[in-house]
Amino acid sequence: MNTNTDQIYIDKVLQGDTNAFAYLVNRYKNMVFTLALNMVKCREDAEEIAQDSFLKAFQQLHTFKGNSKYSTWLYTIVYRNAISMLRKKKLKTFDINAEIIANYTTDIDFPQLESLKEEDQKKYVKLILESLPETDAFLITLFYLDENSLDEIEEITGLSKSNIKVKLFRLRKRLYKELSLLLNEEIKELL
Amino acid sequence: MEEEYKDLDGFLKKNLEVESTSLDFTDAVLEQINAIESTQEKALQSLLQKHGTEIPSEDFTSKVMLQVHKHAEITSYRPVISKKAWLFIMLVLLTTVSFVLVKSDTSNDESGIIYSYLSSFEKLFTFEVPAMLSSPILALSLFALSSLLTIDYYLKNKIFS
Repeated sequence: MNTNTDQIYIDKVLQGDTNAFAYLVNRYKNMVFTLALNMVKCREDAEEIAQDSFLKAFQQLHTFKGNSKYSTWLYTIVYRNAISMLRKKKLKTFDINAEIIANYTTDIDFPQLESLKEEDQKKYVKLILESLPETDAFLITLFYLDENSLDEIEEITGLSKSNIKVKLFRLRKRLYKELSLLLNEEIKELL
Repeated sequence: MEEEYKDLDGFLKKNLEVESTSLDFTDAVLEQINAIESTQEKALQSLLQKHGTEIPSEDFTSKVMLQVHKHAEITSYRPVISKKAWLFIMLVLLTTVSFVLVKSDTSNDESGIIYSYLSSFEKLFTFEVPAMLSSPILALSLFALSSLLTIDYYLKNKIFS
Protein backbone atom coordinates (compact mmCIF):
# COMPACT_ATOMS: atom_id res chain seq x y z
CA MET A 1 0.00 0.00 0.00
CA ASN A 2 2.68 2.47 1.09
CA THR A 3 5.02 1.33 -1.65
CA ASN A 4 2.21 1.89 -4.13
CA THR A 5 1.59 5.34 -2.71
CA ASP A 6 5.30 6.10 -3.04
CA GLN A 7 5.19 5.05 -6.69
CA ILE A 8 2.20 7.33 -7.34
CA TYR A 9 4.14 10.31 -6.00
CA ILE A 10 7.32 9.25 -7.81
CA ASP A 11 5.36 9.19 -11.08
CA LYS A 12 3.94 12.62 -10.32
CA VAL A 13 7.43 14.02 -9.74
CA LEU A 14 8.69 12.43 -12.94
CA GLN A 15 5.82 14.03 -14.82
CA GLY A 16 6.96 17.44 -13.64
CA ASP A 17 5.02 17.94 -10.41
CA THR A 18 7.99 18.91 -8.24
CA ASN A 19 5.78 19.64 -5.22
CA ALA A 20 4.80 15.97 -5.05
CA PHE A 21 8.34 15.29 -3.85
CA ALA A 22 7.42 16.93 -0.51
CA TYR A 23 5.31 13.85 0.30
CA LEU A 24 8.36 11.61 -0.05
CA VAL A 25 10.48 14.01 2.02
CA ASN A 26 7.91 14.14 4.83
CA ARG A 27 7.45 10.40 4.81
CA TYR A 28 11.11 9.47 5.08
CA LYS A 29 12.80 12.48 6.66
CA ASN A 30 12.89 11.06 10.21
CA MET A 31 14.36 7.72 9.19
CA VAL A 32 16.83 9.33 6.80
CA PHE A 33 17.92 11.77 9.50
CA THR A 34 18.16 8.99 12.12
CA LEU A 35 20.26 6.81 9.82
CA ALA A 36 22.57 9.72 9.02
CA LEU A 37 22.85 10.72 12.67
CA ASN A 38 23.67 7.20 13.78
CA MET A 39 26.47 7.15 11.25
CA VAL A 40 28.06 10.58 11.72
CA LYS A 41 27.03 11.27 15.36
CA CYS A 42 26.58 14.99 14.73
CA ARG A 43 23.18 16.61 14.19
CA GLU A 44 24.40 19.34 11.82
CA ASP A 45 26.27 16.89 9.63
CA ALA A 46 23.35 14.46 9.74
CA GLU A 47 20.95 17.16 8.59
CA GLU A 48 23.31 18.09 5.77
CA ILE A 49 23.57 14.45 4.71
CA ALA A 50 19.79 14.02 4.90
CA GLN A 51 19.16 17.12 2.76
CA ASP A 52 21.80 16.14 0.25
CA SER A 53 20.39 12.62 0.08
CA PHE A 54 16.91 13.88 -0.74
CA LEU A 55 18.31 16.24 -3.37
CA LYS A 56 20.28 13.41 -4.96
CA ALA A 57 17.20 11.20 -4.82
CA PHE A 58 15.27 13.91 -6.67
CA GLN A 59 18.00 14.35 -9.28
CA GLN A 60 18.31 10.61 -9.86
CA LEU A 61 14.63 9.74 -9.51
CA HIS A 62 14.42 8.84 -13.21
CA THR A 63 16.94 6.05 -12.56
CA PHE A 64 14.72 4.46 -9.89
CA LYS A 65 13.22 1.46 -11.66
CA GLY A 66 10.99 0.23 -8.85
CA ASN A 67 12.75 -3.13 -8.57
CA SER A 68 13.18 -2.50 -4.86
CA LYS A 69 11.30 -0.33 -2.37
CA TYR A 70 11.82 3.41 -2.71
CA SER A 71 13.02 3.47 0.90
CA THR A 72 15.71 0.86 0.16
CA TRP A 73 16.92 2.93 -2.77
CA LEU A 74 16.87 6.13 -0.69
CA TYR A 75 18.72 4.56 2.26
CA THR A 76 21.43 3.41 -0.15
CA ILE A 77 22.00 7.06 -1.06
CA VAL A 78 22.03 8.01 2.63
CA TYR A 79 24.54 5.28 3.44
CA ARG A 80 26.88 6.33 0.64
CA ASN A 81 26.59 10.00 1.56
CA ALA A 82 27.31 9.26 5.20
CA ILE A 83 30.32 7.11 4.31
CA SER A 84 31.57 9.88 2.06
CA MET A 85 31.12 12.47 4.84
CA LEU A 86 32.93 10.22 7.32
CA ARG A 87 35.82 9.80 4.92
CA LYS A 88 36.04 13.53 4.47
CA LYS A 89 35.91 14.34 8.12
CA LYS A 90 37.63 11.18 9.32
CA LEU A 91 35.37 11.13 12.30
CA LYS A 92 36.55 8.99 15.14
CA THR A 93 34.11 6.54 16.62
CA PHE A 94 34.50 4.58 19.82
CA ASP A 95 33.08 1.42 21.25
CA ILE A 96 30.86 1.05 24.25
CA ASN A 97 33.14 0.89 27.22
CA ALA A 98 32.84 0.35 30.90
CA GLU A 99 33.62 3.98 31.64
CA ILE A 100 30.49 5.25 29.93
CA ILE A 101 28.36 2.72 31.71
CA ALA A 102 29.95 3.49 35.07
CA ASN A 103 29.26 7.20 34.61
CA TYR A 104 25.58 6.70 34.05
CA THR A 105 24.46 3.72 36.05
CA THR A 106 24.47 5.68 39.30
CA ASP A 107 21.90 8.11 37.90
CA ILE A 108 19.23 5.50 37.53
CA ASP A 109 19.43 3.73 40.82
CA PHE A 110 16.08 5.03 41.97
CA PRO A 111 13.87 5.88 39.03
CA GLN A 112 10.77 6.96 40.91
CA LEU A 113 8.55 8.34 38.18
CA GLU A 114 7.40 6.75 34.96
CA SER A 115 8.31 9.90 33.05
CA LEU A 116 11.80 9.75 34.46
CA LYS A 117 12.08 6.17 33.31
CA GLU A 118 11.04 7.26 29.85
CA GLU A 119 13.63 10.01 29.84
CA ASP A 120 16.28 7.59 31.05
CA GLN A 121 15.36 5.05 28.45
CA LYS A 122 15.61 7.67 25.73
CA LYS A 123 18.90 8.97 27.07
CA TYR A 124 20.53 5.57 27.26
CA VAL A 125 19.23 4.35 23.93
CA LYS A 126 20.78 7.46 22.39
CA LEU A 127 23.94 6.92 24.32
CA ILE A 128 24.28 3.36 23.17
CA LEU A 129 23.53 4.20 19.53
CA GLU A 130 25.99 7.08 19.62
CA SER A 131 28.69 4.87 21.00
CA LEU A 132 28.29 2.15 18.39
CA PRO A 133 30.64 2.13 15.39
CA GLU A 134 28.93 3.86 12.47
CA THR A 135 28.07 0.85 10.33
CA ASP A 136 26.79 -1.10 13.32
CA ALA A 137 24.51 1.75 14.34
CA PHE A 138 23.28 1.95 10.76
CA LEU A 139 22.51 -1.79 10.69
CA ILE A 140 20.67 -1.63 14.00
CA THR A 141 18.56 1.29 12.78
CA LEU A 142 17.69 -0.44 9.53
CA PHE A 143 16.87 -3.76 11.17
CA TYR A 144 15.06 -2.75 14.34
CA LEU A 145 13.68 0.68 13.60
CA ASP A 146 12.68 0.38 9.99
CA GLU A 147 12.32 -3.41 10.02
CA ASN A 148 14.21 -3.91 6.77
CA SER A 149 14.83 -7.46 5.67
CA LEU A 150 18.33 -8.91 5.40
CA ASP A 151 18.04 -8.75 1.61
CA GLU A 152 17.19 -5.07 1.77
CA ILE A 153 20.06 -4.35 4.18
CA GLU A 154 22.37 -6.24 1.84
CA GLU A 155 21.24 -4.04 -1.04
CA ILE A 156 21.61 -0.84 0.97
CA THR A 157 25.01 -1.46 2.55
CA GLY A 158 26.61 -3.80 0.07
CA LEU A 159 27.60 -6.13 2.92
CA SER A 160 27.02 -9.84 2.46
CA LYS A 161 23.95 -11.38 4.05
CA SER A 162 26.03 -13.72 6.21
CA ASN A 163 28.13 -10.81 7.42
CA ILE A 164 24.99 -8.84 8.29
CA LYS A 165 23.57 -11.83 10.16
CA VAL A 166 26.70 -12.26 12.23
CA LYS A 167 26.95 -8.56 12.95
CA LEU A 168 23.31 -8.33 13.98
CA PHE A 169 23.62 -11.41 16.21
CA ARG A 170 26.62 -9.95 18.03
CA LEU A 171 25.05 -6.51 18.22
CA ARG A 172 21.84 -7.88 19.67
CA LYS A 173 23.73 -9.64 22.45
CA ARG A 174 25.86 -6.63 23.14
CA LEU A 175 23.03 -4.11 23.05
CA TYR A 176 20.83 -6.19 25.27
CA LYS A 177 23.63 -6.56 27.78
CA GLU A 178 24.58 -2.89 27.74
CA LEU A 179 21.02 -1.66 27.86
CA SER A 180 20.16 -4.04 30.68
CA LEU A 181 23.10 -2.63 32.60
CA LEU A 182 22.23 0.96 31.90
CA LEU A 183 18.54 0.65 32.47
CA ASN A 184 18.86 -1.82 35.31
CA GLU A 185 15.88 -4.08 35.03
CA GLU A 186 13.71 -1.75 32.96
CA ILE A 187 14.40 -3.53 29.71
CA LYS A 188 13.10 -6.74 31.24
CA GLU A 189 9.83 -4.97 32.00
CA LEU A 190 9.39 -4.55 28.29
CA LEU A 191 9.29 -8.29 27.81
CA MET B 1 42.26 -52.74 50.14
CA GLU B 2 43.34 -51.53 46.71
CA GLU B 3 42.07 -54.68 45.18
CA GLU B 4 38.67 -54.02 46.72
CA TYR B 5 38.66 -50.56 45.10
CA LYS B 6 39.65 -52.07 41.79
CA ASP B 7 36.74 -54.41 42.05
CA LEU B 8 34.46 -51.52 42.84
CA ASP B 9 35.81 -49.51 39.90
CA GLY B 10 35.25 -52.47 37.62
CA PHE B 11 31.78 -52.96 39.02
CA LEU B 12 30.89 -49.29 38.53
CA LYS B 13 32.34 -49.11 35.03
CA LYS B 14 30.41 -52.16 34.10
CA ASN B 15 27.13 -51.13 35.53
CA LEU B 16 27.00 -47.38 35.22
CA GLU B 17 25.41 -46.22 32.01
CA VAL B 18 24.79 -42.84 30.51
CA GLU B 19 21.13 -42.17 30.81
CA SER B 20 19.52 -41.13 27.57
CA THR B 21 17.19 -38.18 27.41
CA SER B 22 13.85 -38.04 25.73
CA LEU B 23 13.94 -37.88 21.94
CA ASP B 24 12.87 -34.25 21.76
CA PHE B 25 15.35 -33.06 24.38
CA THR B 26 17.62 -31.13 21.95
CA ASP B 27 14.64 -29.57 20.26
CA ALA B 28 13.26 -28.49 23.61
CA VAL B 29 16.56 -26.86 24.62
CA LEU B 30 16.87 -25.09 21.28
CA GLU B 31 13.30 -23.95 21.57
CA GLN B 32 14.04 -22.42 24.94
CA ILE B 33 17.16 -20.69 23.62
CA ASN B 34 15.19 -19.34 20.67
CA ALA B 35 12.43 -18.17 22.97
CA ILE B 36 14.93 -16.24 25.12
CA GLU B 37 16.56 -14.71 22.04
CA SER B 38 13.20 -13.85 20.58
CA THR B 39 12.06 -12.07 23.75
CA GLN B 40 15.37 -10.22 23.95
CA GLU B 41 14.99 -9.18 20.36
CA LYS B 42 11.43 -8.02 20.93
CA ALA B 43 12.49 -6.01 23.98
CA LEU B 44 15.33 -4.44 22.05
CA GLN B 45 13.12 -3.64 19.09
CA SER B 46 10.45 -2.14 21.33
CA LEU B 47 12.99 0.05 23.10
CA LEU B 48 14.68 1.17 19.89
CA GLN B 49 11.41 1.88 18.12
CA LYS B 50 10.23 3.88 21.10
CA HIS B 51 13.33 5.99 21.53
CA GLY B 52 15.59 5.43 18.55
CA THR B 53 14.00 7.76 16.00
CA GLU B 54 15.52 11.19 15.67
CA ILE B 55 13.64 14.17 14.30
CA PRO B 56 15.34 16.73 12.04
CA SER B 57 14.77 20.49 12.28
CA GLU B 58 11.22 21.77 11.82
CA ASP B 59 11.95 23.48 8.52
CA PHE B 60 13.72 20.44 7.08
CA THR B 61 11.10 19.75 4.40
CA SER B 62 10.97 23.38 3.28
CA LYS B 63 14.78 23.51 3.07
CA VAL B 64 14.85 20.38 0.92
CA MET B 65 12.00 21.57 -1.28
CA LEU B 66 13.74 24.93 -1.79
CA GLN B 67 16.79 23.12 -3.11
CA VAL B 68 14.63 20.78 -5.18
CA HIS B 69 12.80 23.71 -6.79
CA LYS B 70 16.10 25.46 -7.52
CA HIS B 71 17.41 22.33 -9.16
CA ALA B 72 14.17 21.80 -11.08
CA GLU B 73 14.47 25.33 -12.52
CA ILE B 74 18.03 24.74 -13.62
CA THR B 75 17.29 21.48 -15.33
CA SER B 76 13.93 22.44 -16.78
CA TYR B 77 13.49 21.34 -20.41
CA ARG B 78 15.32 23.49 -22.91
CA PRO B 79 15.09 22.33 -26.52
CA VAL B 80 18.41 21.92 -28.26
CA ILE B 81 16.93 23.41 -31.45
CA SER B 82 14.84 26.51 -30.87
CA LYS B 83 11.43 27.16 -32.41
CA LYS B 84 12.87 29.66 -34.91
CA ALA B 85 15.55 27.21 -35.96
CA TRP B 86 12.93 24.52 -36.59
CA LEU B 87 10.89 26.92 -38.73
CA PHE B 88 13.96 27.87 -40.72
CA ILE B 89 14.94 24.22 -41.25
CA MET B 90 11.40 23.37 -42.39
CA LEU B 91 11.29 26.35 -44.72
CA VAL B 92 14.60 25.39 -46.32
CA LEU B 93 13.53 21.79 -46.68
CA LEU B 94 10.14 22.65 -48.14
CA THR B 95 11.69 25.09 -50.60
CA THR B 96 14.21 22.50 -51.73
CA VAL B 97 11.56 19.82 -52.05
CA SER B 98 9.17 22.11 -53.94
CA PHE B 99 11.95 23.21 -56.23
CA VAL B 100 13.00 19.68 -57.05
CA LEU B 101 9.44 18.45 -57.52
CA VAL B 102 8.28 21.38 -59.64
CA LYS B 103 11.41 21.25 -61.76
CA SER B 104 10.94 17.59 -62.52
CA ASP B 105 7.24 18.12 -63.31
CA THR B 106 7.80 21.01 -65.66
CA SER B 107 10.79 19.57 -67.45
CA ASN B 108 8.48 18.19 -70.15
CA ASP B 109 6.40 21.36 -70.49
CA GLU B 110 8.90 24.07 -71.17
CA SER B 111 6.34 26.62 -72.31
CA GLY B 112 4.62 26.93 -68.94
CA ILE B 113 4.48 30.15 -66.95
CA ILE B 114 5.86 28.43 -63.90
CA TYR B 115 8.78 27.18 -65.90
CA SER B 116 9.60 30.64 -67.20
CA TYR B 117 9.34 31.93 -63.64
CA LEU B 118 11.55 29.15 -62.36
CA SER B 119 14.01 29.72 -65.21
CA SER B 120 14.41 33.31 -64.16
CA PHE B 121 14.74 32.13 -60.57
CA GLU B 122 17.21 29.52 -61.68
CA LYS B 123 19.37 32.14 -63.31
CA LEU B 124 20.13 33.47 -59.88
CA PHE B 125 21.98 30.28 -59.20
CA THR B 126 24.48 29.86 -61.94
CA PHE B 127 25.97 26.63 -60.59
CA GLU B 128 25.00 23.25 -61.93
CA VAL B 129 22.84 21.18 -59.61
CA PRO B 130 24.31 17.68 -59.36
CA ALA B 131 22.16 14.99 -60.90
CA MET B 132 21.83 13.22 -57.56
CA LEU B 133 20.08 16.24 -56.02
CA SER B 134 17.36 16.21 -58.63
CA SER B 135 16.58 12.53 -58.27
CA PRO B 136 13.00 11.67 -57.18
CA ILE B 137 14.29 9.41 -54.36
CA LEU B 138 16.07 12.31 -52.75
CA ALA B 139 13.03 14.48 -53.22
CA LEU B 140 10.78 11.91 -51.59
CA SER B 141 13.24 11.38 -48.74
CA LEU B 142 13.43 15.08 -48.06
CA PHE B 143 9.68 15.35 -48.23
CA ALA B 144 9.27 12.48 -45.76
CA LEU B 145 11.85 14.02 -43.41
CA SER B 146 10.24 17.42 -43.46
CA SER B 147 6.82 15.84 -42.91
CA LEU B 148 8.12 13.94 -39.90
CA LEU B 149 9.74 17.05 -38.47
CA THR B 150 6.51 18.97 -38.92
CA ILE B 151 4.47 16.23 -37.25
CA ASP B 152 7.04 16.03 -34.42
CA TYR B 153 6.91 19.78 -33.89
CA TYR B 154 3.11 19.78 -33.95
CA LEU B 155 2.80 16.88 -31.49
CA LYS B 156 5.36 18.30 -29.07
CA ASN B 157 4.07 21.85 -29.02
CA LYS B 158 0.36 21.55 -29.65
CA ILE B 159 -0.71 18.25 -28.15
CA PHE B 160 1.79 17.31 -25.39
CA SER B 161 2.74 20.81 -24.29
